Amino acid sequence: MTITMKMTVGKGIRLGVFIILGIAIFAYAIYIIGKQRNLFGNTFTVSGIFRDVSGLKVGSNVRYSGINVGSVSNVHLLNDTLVKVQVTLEDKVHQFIREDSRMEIGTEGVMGNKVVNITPGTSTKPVVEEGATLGTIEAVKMDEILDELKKSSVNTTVVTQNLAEITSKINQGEGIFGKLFTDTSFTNNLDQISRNTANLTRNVSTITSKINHEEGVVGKLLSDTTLAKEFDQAGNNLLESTRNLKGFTQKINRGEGMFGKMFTDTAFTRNLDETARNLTYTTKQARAISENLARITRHIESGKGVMNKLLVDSTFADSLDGTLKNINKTARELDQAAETVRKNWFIRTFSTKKQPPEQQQIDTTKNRPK
Amino acid sequence: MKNDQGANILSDITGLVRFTVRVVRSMMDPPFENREMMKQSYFIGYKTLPLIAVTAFILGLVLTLQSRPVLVDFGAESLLPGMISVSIVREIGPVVTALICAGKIGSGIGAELGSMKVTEQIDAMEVSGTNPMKYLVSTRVLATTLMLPILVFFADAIAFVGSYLAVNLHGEIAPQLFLTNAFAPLHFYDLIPATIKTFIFGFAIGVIGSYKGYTAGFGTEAVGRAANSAVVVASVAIFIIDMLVVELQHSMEMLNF
Amino acid sequence: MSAKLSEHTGEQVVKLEHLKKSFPDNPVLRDVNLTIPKGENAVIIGQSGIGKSVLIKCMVRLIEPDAGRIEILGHQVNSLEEEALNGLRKKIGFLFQGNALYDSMSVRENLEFPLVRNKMAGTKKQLERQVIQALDNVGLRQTIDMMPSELSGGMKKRIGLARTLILQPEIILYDEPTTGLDPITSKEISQLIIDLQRHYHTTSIIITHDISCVKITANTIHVLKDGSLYTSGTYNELKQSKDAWINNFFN
Repeated sequence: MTITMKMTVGKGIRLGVFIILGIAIFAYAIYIIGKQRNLFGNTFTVSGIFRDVSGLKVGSNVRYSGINVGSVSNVHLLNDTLVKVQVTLEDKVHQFIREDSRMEIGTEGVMGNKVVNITPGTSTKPVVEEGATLGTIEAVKMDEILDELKKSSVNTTVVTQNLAEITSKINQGEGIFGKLFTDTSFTNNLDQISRNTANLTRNVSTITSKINHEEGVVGKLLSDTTLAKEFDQAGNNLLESTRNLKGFTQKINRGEGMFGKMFTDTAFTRNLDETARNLTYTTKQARAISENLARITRHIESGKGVMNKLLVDSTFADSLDGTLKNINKTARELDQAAETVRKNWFIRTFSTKKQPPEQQQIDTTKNRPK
Repeated sequence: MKNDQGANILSDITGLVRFTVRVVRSMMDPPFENREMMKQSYFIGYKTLPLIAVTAFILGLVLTLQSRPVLVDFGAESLLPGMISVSIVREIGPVVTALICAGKIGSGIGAELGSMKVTEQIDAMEVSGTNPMKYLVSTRVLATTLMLPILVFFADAIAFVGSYLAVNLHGEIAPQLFLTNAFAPLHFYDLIPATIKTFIFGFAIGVIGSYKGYTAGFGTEAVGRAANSAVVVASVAIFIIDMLVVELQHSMEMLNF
Repeated sequence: MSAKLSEHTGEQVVKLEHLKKSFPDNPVLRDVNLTIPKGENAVIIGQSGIGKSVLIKCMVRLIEPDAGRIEILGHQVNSLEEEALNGLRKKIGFLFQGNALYDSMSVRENLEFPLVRNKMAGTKKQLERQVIQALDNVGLRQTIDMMPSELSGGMKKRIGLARTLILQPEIILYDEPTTGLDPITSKEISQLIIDLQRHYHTTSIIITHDISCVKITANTIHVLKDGSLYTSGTYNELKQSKDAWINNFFN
């Protein structure tokens, strides 16, 4: 110990730098954490009332369009069934939170932290005021899903059957397209159908995956895992057919080649008239159905109705099983049909030369072989 | 001399408690030995930084490398910085820094005061108009109490650097993204109790080191014993304090949230 | 009890009455009565572990006695408040057995310490002058910027003595000043003690069992045995004592 332990000015400075740096690190941490929790800067609060907050805690993140914009500042029971969740948000998102924006409780990451999602509202509605109470979207309940599933699965069968019919008609109906594709509304319709169907399929697949994950809730029904699998597959098949259908209609829309031939063949066009009318009718029908379906799925999402009956009615499970098998089959057929059409179309497309863009629509119609 | 271990530990604890009361009382009333305090802070804080820096860096690096495979298995590699930061800030930073300080500072104080006691330097001070409780003990206890949190801040920051480098070994990640990920799961209730804990650790290291040195027996052997038992007792105390603080923190979290 | 210091000049500066002190495993001081007049060089001898060091440590209240009165320069040592006690301690020099030089401080800082701590430092220049004078007294001016660990045993003892004297105390307590030194250095230190005593006219209480030191320094010798004062006398008186135990000690 031969160092003189005298305190010199140099040592004093070094000690001072050491202490200041250390405190700066701490202050930085405080600042960053505080910023994340919106303790600094201007904030505003809104709240929402839920039946079930699924373990949401004070400090949980709040997201708007997937961006962290604030945190939960208070969770407390209003009465025996309702929970009020108050969130503090950064001022800069205030302008985006409309009166019809809604709060929803979701889950983030694999660790399953609960978050509050705020959905954007309509831009025409006024911006919410400080302390306002937003509408909420309750998490979907299992029994409600099943109730709606019964209706939607029946509907799906109908839709897919119709679709199969349509596509097979398209497949057979050579020359029909002449008139058909001059009618832009039809293609729009078709597009709409496929969009709706895609939505439907997504919804169905969501439901099935939910069912798959919530094993054991509905006793017998769900112990039959093959059922769920079938349902799942049906969804997948349906999705694929829809995709095919969509690709097909897009092609039509783009209307490559085949204009001259079609035009010269007047007899064909006349002949086509009736078929076209039929098809239009079918399309309208299909559209109505898919709209129905969309409504139903919305219904499911908004989570109305209870399914006591389902739970006691064991025959339902059997019938559901049958239905699903049907769906599966139809979807496969639909898929094949779409595939055939696409292939045919391709061959024909490539055999003719391209036309100027403004004539494409007509072009397509003319192209049909006699 | 030590035929009854149990009674010995008990008298050691009561002695320590009484000593602590004396230290606190002498810290409270003026005059304060500011110059001596600064000197001790310099040695306890500044001079310990290199040791803490090396340890913390390696700790952050190794902890990250070791935790990574598990998170990769779960496909949650992006959670790595957050996981490391929580464990460093809540637990590993404070406890490891405190243990290293118990080893370096606690034994240093134990040996220094022990040798001063054995060679009657403490008595010499007392007859030179100096209260050794104030001049020697309070300054050291205050210095450890105030310097340990600062060392922990450095340790946490340097461990983050080590962790960042370890994450970078398996693919580029921007420092900014690393920091965002690291701070994402951190709350005030991670940082604040951990910081309060470090003050208590520092106090414990100072008091135990001083107590062991101050009550050293006679002869050079007693100096070694004082240094040694200062480290042992301080290390055990750190774990016990840690456990109590975590318990307290948990029960407070339960009450609040 | 509350008599002024000045009244006691020329009288007994140290008065011990029925002093008792025991440690858990042995009773050290059973009943010690002792008076030491001003200006005397009193040597206390006795076997090791008899409690000689305890006795002088009680005088500056480094150790609290179990019972008895200690009156130093007219003050009841055991009933003084901290401030008054420090005032009294300024007047009592204490040379510890191991010198008790502060290892972490240089010789200069060691000598400055009592002055600074007792707020008797004055200006920097005055402080420097006092330190150099104290070192000159023991003939070790060149060691001023050395650390204690660089000094030999005899040098340490001299520096210790210089530090003890720097406050110009009225009473100096020496705890075994010649232990661990070779006979020549031992004699030098004893001579230094007596020289300084003559120079500053202090009262000295020397604890030792080194007979050569006793011979050089002692006016009066007090023999401690079995926890109380056994006998007192001059060197020659005790040397010619008929008492077998005393004889044994002196020869």
